Amino acid sequence: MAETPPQFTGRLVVAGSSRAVTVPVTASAEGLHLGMEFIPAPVITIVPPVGGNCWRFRLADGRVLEMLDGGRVLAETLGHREGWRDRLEKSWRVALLSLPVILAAGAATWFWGVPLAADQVADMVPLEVERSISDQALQLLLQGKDTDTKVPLERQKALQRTLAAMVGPDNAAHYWLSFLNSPIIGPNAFALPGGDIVVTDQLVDLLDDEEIAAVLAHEVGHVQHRHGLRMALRASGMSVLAAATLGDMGSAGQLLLATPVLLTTLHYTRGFEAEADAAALAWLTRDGRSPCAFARALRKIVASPAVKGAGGDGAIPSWLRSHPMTEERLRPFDAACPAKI
Amino acid sequence: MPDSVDVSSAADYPAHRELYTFRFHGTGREYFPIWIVNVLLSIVTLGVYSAWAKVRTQRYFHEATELDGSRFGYHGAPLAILIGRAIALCLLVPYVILNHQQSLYAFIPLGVFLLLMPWMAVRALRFRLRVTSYRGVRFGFSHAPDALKGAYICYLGLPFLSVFTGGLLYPYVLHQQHRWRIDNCHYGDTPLRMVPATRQFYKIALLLLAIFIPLSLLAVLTILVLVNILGPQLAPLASLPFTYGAGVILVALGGALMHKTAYANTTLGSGADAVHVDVAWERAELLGLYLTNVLLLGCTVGLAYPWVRCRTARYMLERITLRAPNGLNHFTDSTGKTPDAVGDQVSSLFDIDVGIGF
Repeated sequence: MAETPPQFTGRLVVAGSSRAVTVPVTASAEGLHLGMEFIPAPVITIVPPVGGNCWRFRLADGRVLEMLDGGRVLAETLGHREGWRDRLEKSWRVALLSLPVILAAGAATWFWGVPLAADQVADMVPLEVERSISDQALQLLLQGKDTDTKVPLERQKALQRTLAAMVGPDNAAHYWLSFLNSPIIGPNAFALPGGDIVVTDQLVDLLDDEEIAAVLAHEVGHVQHRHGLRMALRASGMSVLAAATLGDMGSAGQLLLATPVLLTTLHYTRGFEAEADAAALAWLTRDGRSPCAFARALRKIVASPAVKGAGGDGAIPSWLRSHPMTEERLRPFDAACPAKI
Repeated sequence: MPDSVDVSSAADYPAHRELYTFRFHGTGREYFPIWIVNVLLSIVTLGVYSAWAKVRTQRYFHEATELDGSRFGYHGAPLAILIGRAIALCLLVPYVILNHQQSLYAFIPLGVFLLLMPWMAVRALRFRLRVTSYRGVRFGFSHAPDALKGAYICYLGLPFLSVFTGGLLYPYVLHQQHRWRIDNCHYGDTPLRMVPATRQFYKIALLLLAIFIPLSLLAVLTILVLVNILGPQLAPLASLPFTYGAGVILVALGGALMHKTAYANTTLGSGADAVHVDVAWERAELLGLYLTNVLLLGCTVGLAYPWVRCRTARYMLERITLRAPNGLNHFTDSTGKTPDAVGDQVSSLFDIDVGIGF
């Protein structure tokens, strides 16, 4: 051992005091020499830096040696091996290769992961829970002023019977049709998670009973497939996952995540609409009913002054939100319809 | 230096200067791969790694921060952070689901959260300060019952009251929150104290209002012009990034100015050994910094984040100067020897960072 080991300068911090002492440091495989003092390797804990070059050596007696220069050489002399994470975190090649992986993993989670996991959870939620949640939302909705329906009682009862017949005697108790007079909402119908279906007076005025039944079939499809609950679970799954991965970014992260989360909701909505449409089509093609009714209803609504006049997307009922796709959406109905009207 | 220097008698403390300015050594170039690895592992582990990612990030920024030749240290345990996040999740998920269903039940988790929030703030501060060190001396947050009482007053009582004053009390509420936070902090055995600065907080609020009012008028005008060009559907959507960006910048500016006031009125210790803080953040410079940050993030779809974060940290830190006539060597930390240390260990069992993480 003719060669003298390189000497570095470190700062030694004594536990319990902010006094830092500058010391010359050399290392051998057996331990560290701090000036005259020898510290054997077994009592030294090496704390490699995260980025940067601030190596720390914790000694058994609570003192800490801080090396801003030469820490790596000392650690390697003591036999320290670089960890996998330290190597990953230093590599720009890994970082650049990771970018597409991150995007792909993010997209896969968004397309399949979250929906799959959310639907699994939805299966475990009892129907009773779903119903008790939506009861309140319904009360809140019907509480407003001037929302009392003007639909004649006879027609209300007839539509109620249509709905009951549609879902069968076993489920009839859980489905309830409510009427809401709302010029602001316009001709619309929506389903709450538990089985409450709301149609506006404006819709009832616009459509005949056969067409309303077709719309109800679509809404029943939403209820049967538990779209409300599944959507809520998917949306919350997305936001939790987003927060966990990019939460450190603070407001910058929120800014970046707002758009994908919005798109998520729209993407999932379209899927659910297609599912409800399929349910409606299945019901309409059974027992001599006409699939034309649904297409007729949709076209009437899109052409109605309330929807057309407003022009904005907000005026279009949520189950029609895929506005430019209305025609595309109606293709299966038209195909099943003997003569297009 | 000769080999024979005796450590125990090395009288080589740096000569006492009076001023000590923070230095930040982090760079976007260095932080970028660290950040990417953090995001990648967080996604792959469905968010579980995020606790480890947080520790890596905190360690990077602490170890890159220099004061008088020594670096800061972060010693948080990932598992403690993971537990804290799991607890926060238990409150968050029911809320998001119920809120999405427009259920009145959503008020239950919201209420629980509001009631627990001050307690969680104390917990989080205790954890965060306890795991931060400088030269082997740990920071800390008071364990006295008064600290918790103050949290409920500053984060629940006063904000509740300020609602009835039409927001007039709000700058005072923010002032009290800053003061409560600083007054309960200690570095080793030495407490931090903030001198009241209510008047300055009201001045900042007025300034923000003076910026906000013309800015919102401008925003309304822009939207009106855009409506004519793009139509009523696209105009609000097109202007959203600008209005949102302006909002983010304004909130950040207000926060920074209040922090500046709070720090500038803070002293560490008392008497001849006291350390005072000078903060030289300039309004125009802060505005320029935030504006370029938002532009950088927007133009790179977020990829510039590591650079944005490092340049912000550099500006903020390198403009803080400590005035310490007796230097920084005399602080002691006896918490390791007091019986309180046990309670400290228990309280740092988990970290709840609701404010940041979610």
